[in-house]
Amino acid sequence: MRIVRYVTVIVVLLLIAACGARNQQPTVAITVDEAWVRPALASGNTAAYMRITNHTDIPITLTSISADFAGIVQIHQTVVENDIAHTQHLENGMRIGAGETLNLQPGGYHVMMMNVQQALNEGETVSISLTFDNGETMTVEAEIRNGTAEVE
Amino acid sequence: MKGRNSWLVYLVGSITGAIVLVAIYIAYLLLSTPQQTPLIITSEAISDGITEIEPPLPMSDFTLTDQQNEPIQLSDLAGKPTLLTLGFTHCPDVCPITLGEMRNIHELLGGNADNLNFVFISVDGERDTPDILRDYFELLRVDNFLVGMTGTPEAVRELSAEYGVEFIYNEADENDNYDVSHTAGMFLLDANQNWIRRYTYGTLAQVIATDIEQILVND
Repeated sequence: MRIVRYVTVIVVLLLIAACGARNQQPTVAITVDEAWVRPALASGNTAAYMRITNHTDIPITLTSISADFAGIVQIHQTVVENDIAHTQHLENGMRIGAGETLNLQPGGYHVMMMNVQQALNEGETVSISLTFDNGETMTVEAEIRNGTAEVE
Repeated sequence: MKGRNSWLVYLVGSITGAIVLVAIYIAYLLLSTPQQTPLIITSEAISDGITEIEPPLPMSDFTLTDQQNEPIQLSDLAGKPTLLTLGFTHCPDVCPITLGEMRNIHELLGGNADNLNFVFISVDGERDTPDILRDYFELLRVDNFLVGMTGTPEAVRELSAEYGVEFIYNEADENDNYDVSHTAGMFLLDANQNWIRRYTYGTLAQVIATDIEQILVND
């Protein structure tokens, strides 16, 4: 019966170790991937798209986005009503629920980039910075390419 | 008593009369509003996102300027069906999406694409000069097949009304950047420039290409 006691002790120790390991997981709150920007003319407008995931168990709001190559950068949503399209500024940012992923994609949410200072040509890469209300700021690299609304 | 009764009759009568008049007025408003905005005179939805214009509607000719800075008339393109859309180059999302779909349709049609005109008409002639259109088409890789047309907002407003297209210039910001709300989607004219199809914004390129392929075969 001694063996049982040993096994129990080992199992308990392993469980404690597992819990500890779980708590030591890298504390990445937010990840951003698949960022891309559509090509643009100098002094023109364009849009950036990406996927943002909130890994925490509390909602986080994307409050602002900036990029040094554009005069104005805002979070927008394309609205199509009765087949009439326009773009709407989301002044309060965008809330990402606990554990949720937010897709900024053609035809929906997008990063509106106005007064682009120099032409953005396909194949180049640019940096975009995001600020969240949990105090986190991150800079992502975005590829310039001609994506479409369908299969990316 | 008799006098009081007739006063009551008058009161009830006039209230009833007023209610009837208001009801007639409301009914008139409800019934007349839809008739004031005929978007498509006769149409039939034949598939998801595709509306057939039946009978085909002859469209007026118009003259604008193309991306080579040359005058261009719609009738210059007669002899082949024409797929056209309206938009503007400062449009961040919907217009480049639509042009990307046109690029997909062009690719999907393969060799048949040569039997179709692809046209982009700017609703923002103030900013969209022929040079801007040319550079923009190159950037979006649609320059090898797309015919751009631009002109004064008045000229474009007149022709677009015929397609039921509306556009509104929204307030400019401090950098003079403004959005243009406009009707999205695509329009198809037959080789004789009669309007035959309306493709709602968001219709898959594959669905449009298949529809056009059948039209090209029957042409």
